[in-house]
Amino acid sequence: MKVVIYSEDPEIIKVGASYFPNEHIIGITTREVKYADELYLVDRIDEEFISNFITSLKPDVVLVGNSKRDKTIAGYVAGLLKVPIIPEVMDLEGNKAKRVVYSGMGIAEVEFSYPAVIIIGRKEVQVKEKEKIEINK
Amino acid sequence: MNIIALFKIVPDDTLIKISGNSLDLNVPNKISTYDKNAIEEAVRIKEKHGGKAYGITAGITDRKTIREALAMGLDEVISIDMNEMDVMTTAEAIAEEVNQIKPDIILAGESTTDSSGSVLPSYLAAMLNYPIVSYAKSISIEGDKVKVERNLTTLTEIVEAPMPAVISVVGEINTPRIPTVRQILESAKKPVRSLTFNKAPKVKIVSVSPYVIQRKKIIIEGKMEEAVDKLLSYLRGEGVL
Repeated sequence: MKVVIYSEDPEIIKVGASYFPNEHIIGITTREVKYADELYLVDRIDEEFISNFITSLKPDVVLVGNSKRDKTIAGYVAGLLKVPIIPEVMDLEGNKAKRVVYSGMGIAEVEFSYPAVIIIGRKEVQVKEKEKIEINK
Repeated sequence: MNIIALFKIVPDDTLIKISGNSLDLNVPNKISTYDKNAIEEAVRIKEKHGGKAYGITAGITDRKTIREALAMGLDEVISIDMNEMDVMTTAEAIAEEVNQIKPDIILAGESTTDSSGSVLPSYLAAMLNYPIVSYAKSISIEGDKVKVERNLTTLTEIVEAPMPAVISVVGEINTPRIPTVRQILESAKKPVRSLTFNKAPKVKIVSVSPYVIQRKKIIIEGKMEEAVDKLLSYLRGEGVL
């Protein structure tokens, strides 16, 4: 499974990697982190350019952070790939996710099929750092 | 100029109550909060530049709530009945209608109060091959381009995009008007085109339960400066900061 994690917040790469510990991770962010096998560093957030780049990688799953710009990119990538998107996910296991609904009053458990785009937030996770990282600027 | 305002009819979140292990969603419907800002902006653009302001709603198709959107100044509403929906199928249903209207601008609220996803506008833009400008706090039209001030929380960004474009708006862009009695009466004469769109969504809701936060009830004691340092250190340890 090809996993792409994008966020302008580098911490999200770590959170995303925790959901797919045994997969090849491609990270795209603004600062060097050690939780991806391949890392692409961006110095400017051009939402359409980044969306097109992520799409060109032909991912099976795209995990994206939950900043305003991140969410814009998540929706655009999902639309380009014509795949389902699950926003504001708090927990992810296989093809099930839990997400906040109704202005924070409820939690919905959803089932979905891959390929998919999933929006995640920061949370405390333990992830082993990668020993070899290919960095592209 | 053709403008489309996307709006969603949702259970009024201010009236939803937790009842045992479930949410009581049997409450009156309303136009989702920020979608009212999208309708207001569509009507203002029409009033300034001429043309027609359409509304498209998908999902719940409550006629009384649709009339409220028409009373605010929309000329016509396309109402798409969908039993089950996710972002993808909603975008597909809307895209079919957009292609017939050929709008200059599509406006939507930054998020809806039921799902709070904030992703439909950019999903739709990608499907239509239109540019997306999200989180607009002001919009001006200059020739065949839109100039938009974006509220990105920590900064304001000013961007230009060619039309047609999809623009999501934040609440501060305007104050939605309250229709007069006359406008409410006249709304009954405006056209509503009713359609159905049935396609199984790829994201299915299995259950919805109340979001209960278990408090950790941690008490930090000591002098103010020490307590603040301990609190910051604790929050960093929890990944909050």
